[in-house]
Amino acid sequence: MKLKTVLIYAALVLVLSLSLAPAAADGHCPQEGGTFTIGVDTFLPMDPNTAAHDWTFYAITNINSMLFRIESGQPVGDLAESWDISEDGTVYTWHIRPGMMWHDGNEVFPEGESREVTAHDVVYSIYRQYDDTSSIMAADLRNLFVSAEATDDHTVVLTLSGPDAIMYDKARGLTFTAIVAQEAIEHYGDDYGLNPLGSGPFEFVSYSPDEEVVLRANEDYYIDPCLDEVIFRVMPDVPAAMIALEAGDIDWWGAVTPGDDVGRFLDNEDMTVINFGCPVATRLYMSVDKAPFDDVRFRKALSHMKDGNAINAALRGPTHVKGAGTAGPGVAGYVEGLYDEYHAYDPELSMSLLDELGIVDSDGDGWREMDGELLEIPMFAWNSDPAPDYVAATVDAGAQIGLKIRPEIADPGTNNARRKDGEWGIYLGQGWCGEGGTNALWGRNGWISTLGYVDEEIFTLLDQSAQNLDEESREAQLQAATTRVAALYFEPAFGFFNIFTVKNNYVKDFFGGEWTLNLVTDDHNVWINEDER
Amino acid sequence: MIPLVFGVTTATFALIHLIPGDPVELMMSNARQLTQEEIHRIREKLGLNDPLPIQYVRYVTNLLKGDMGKSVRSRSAVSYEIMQRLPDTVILTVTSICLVLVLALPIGILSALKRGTWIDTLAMTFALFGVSIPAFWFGIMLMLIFGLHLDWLPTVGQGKTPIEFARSLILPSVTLSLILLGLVTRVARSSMLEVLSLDYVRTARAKGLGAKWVNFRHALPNALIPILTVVSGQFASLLGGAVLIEKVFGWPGIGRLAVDSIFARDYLVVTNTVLVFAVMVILVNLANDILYCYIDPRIRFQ
Repeated sequence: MKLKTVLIYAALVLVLSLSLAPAAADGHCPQEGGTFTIGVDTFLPMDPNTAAHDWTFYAITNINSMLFRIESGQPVGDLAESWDISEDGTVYTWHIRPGMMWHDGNEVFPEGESREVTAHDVVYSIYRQYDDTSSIMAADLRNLFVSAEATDDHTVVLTLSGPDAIMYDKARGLTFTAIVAQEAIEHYGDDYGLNPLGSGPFEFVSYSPDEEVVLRANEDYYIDPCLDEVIFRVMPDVPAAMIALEAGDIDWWGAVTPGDDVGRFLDNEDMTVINFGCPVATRLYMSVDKAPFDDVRFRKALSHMKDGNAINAALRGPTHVKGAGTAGPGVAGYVEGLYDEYHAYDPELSMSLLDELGIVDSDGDGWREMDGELLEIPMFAWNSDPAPDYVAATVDAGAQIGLKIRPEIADPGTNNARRKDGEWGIYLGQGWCGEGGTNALWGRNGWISTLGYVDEEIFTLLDQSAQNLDEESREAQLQAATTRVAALYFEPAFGFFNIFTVKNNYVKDFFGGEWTLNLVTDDHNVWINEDER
Repeated sequence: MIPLVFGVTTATFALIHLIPGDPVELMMSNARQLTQEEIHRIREKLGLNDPLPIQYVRYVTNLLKGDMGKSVRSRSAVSYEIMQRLPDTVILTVTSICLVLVLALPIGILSALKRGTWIDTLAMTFALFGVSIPAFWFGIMLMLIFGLHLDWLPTVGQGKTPIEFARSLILPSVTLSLILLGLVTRVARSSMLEVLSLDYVRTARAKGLGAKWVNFRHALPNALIPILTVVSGQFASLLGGAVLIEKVFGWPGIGRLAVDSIFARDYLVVTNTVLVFAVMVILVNLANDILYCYIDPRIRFQ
């Protein structure tokens, strides 16, 4: 064989092997180095006890190891290599990955003087959250918690007083428990959040409030990160952030992308729109213990008076999802057809229901009265887009059936105070995706309980489902709760919107964030193709 | 100054507590919902369940000891939060004022000297443009043109090296300067016109002095006093404008901290940032009074 032929074959084999090379998942990086810049809307100090903020927690989940991470809604091992759950669901035995080291080269662990992360660190971290009464440890977990014990250096036994079916849900479970070193907490005291130290894939470098957080690759992590550096850049203005994303000044916009921009980015071949996979509902809440809201017929009239699906589609653009209920498509407890059954546009039905209730236009001025007086209902909403547009559409729909609705737009703090005081009126609200969100809304002492949403049957169904480890019957309980909420309260729905985030295509092997931001795992290792940047 | 500072802190403390809303609930709303039991527990730990007068006395006592307290939102020391951002706001504001003086003064003076000509019309159109255009919109436009399409300047954030820092300062400072640019140009023109019509200027001309000497040696110093008064008087509005610009350009300043803290009901951060704003405005006015003496030696303070 001639040398030329050999070289051609060799070149072909090389090209073929490169094209078939596995992604970064097995630790091999197609291109090492580079900085991944993530745009976030705000950022707080990174103490897992106090960082009640998604994007801050994204940094924490890369600095500190977690017992587990969430991928596609399922837990995957991180610091815990594996775990067992007792049959009754009350005892969790976590097997800690050996050889995980705390970051060194800092004030706590000087270069080369780090130590292994052990089960005792996990126990310390859990009790640190449990003992701090102002920590963000979820009340449900706190109430179920019995003990955490290190049976040896690599085994932790967590005991609960009852089973918890949603241990892995952000709103209730263990996902807020990042593992910290006692030495670091004692060294930095209250300033730990400004100098976080962990054992995760990236080490903390610097924090400039309201500006950025810089992390660098931890070469001692059990998987070598492909990236050299990760920067969280704070960008409070969303339109400006969208320009920065297109200009390549940030590589991924980690927060919710507005519907209009999603449409634009879907047509941009340099960008990828990532679906977070957990639709969020937009709906109306009411003071259900006060007249006329205490009558289900009035709530039903409000639900049918507007074309919620059309309004939501117009305001949410490509992020719109038709539906109703406490959980969206893909989330446990979702009931298909709920919208058509309870919320379909039918102004004639609304008017007949109002007539039936005696809420009529007796003086002929075009507006309905109740007990001889004009019925003017305040509608409370927050002051950022698209909330005021939902209010305008609702006011307009009310006017079509002679119901006077008065917009009351204020900042979220003022609206929260009104809701807590149970002020009479209609509230525009958004749900939270995930089972924990359903529970936090409609469960005992739920977020809207101050407006009179108190129903023992719903509470029982949610309590039972939260402790039911059988997936099938739990789904049935959640669906029953969802359906009862709709039938009982007719919480007028507009529909859901998908949470989309957007990345530049030169960011590879990255699938977006869930409850934890997974940049380096057994399955994928984010890298930047600098040639495409 | 002390009564003023005391008044500002008392009024701010009272006003921010009058706004409905709970800092603990707002703090958590991005992550998950809290039960009433959890909210009460966290409020207790943070001292928010105490009666307002007790919270106020605690705040003032700590302030006199140099302790501004802790932020509810970040749980960091308020002094840390402020000191991390104050230099950035000062740099942005001072650069903008310099830009205003460098651009508005020559344009305004030239406009006055060439009154009624096309130069005057062009200058006043420029001033009208500055007064009429919303700064945040102008900022977005600059970002689109120079950041995205031309790719000359970074769209957001601060550069780390001196050159990068200077480049990242251009768009926000130009945008912020727009707030004062139109106003100062118009004031410079009208002030110069007024001085040029005074008797002593006519006398100087009658004595045969050259136009340059009359305009810049005799007229300009007197025309500067109203301009300085306007610039220092507008310093507070520039700080107010910085809030928007800092947000649009992701500039980590104290204005953004103040606004975010108002929305988060982070009481101590709001009270202390307003206190810092007040002190800054007082200091600028003091500096302005001192400058008067240098510009016009007839002005002396007892």
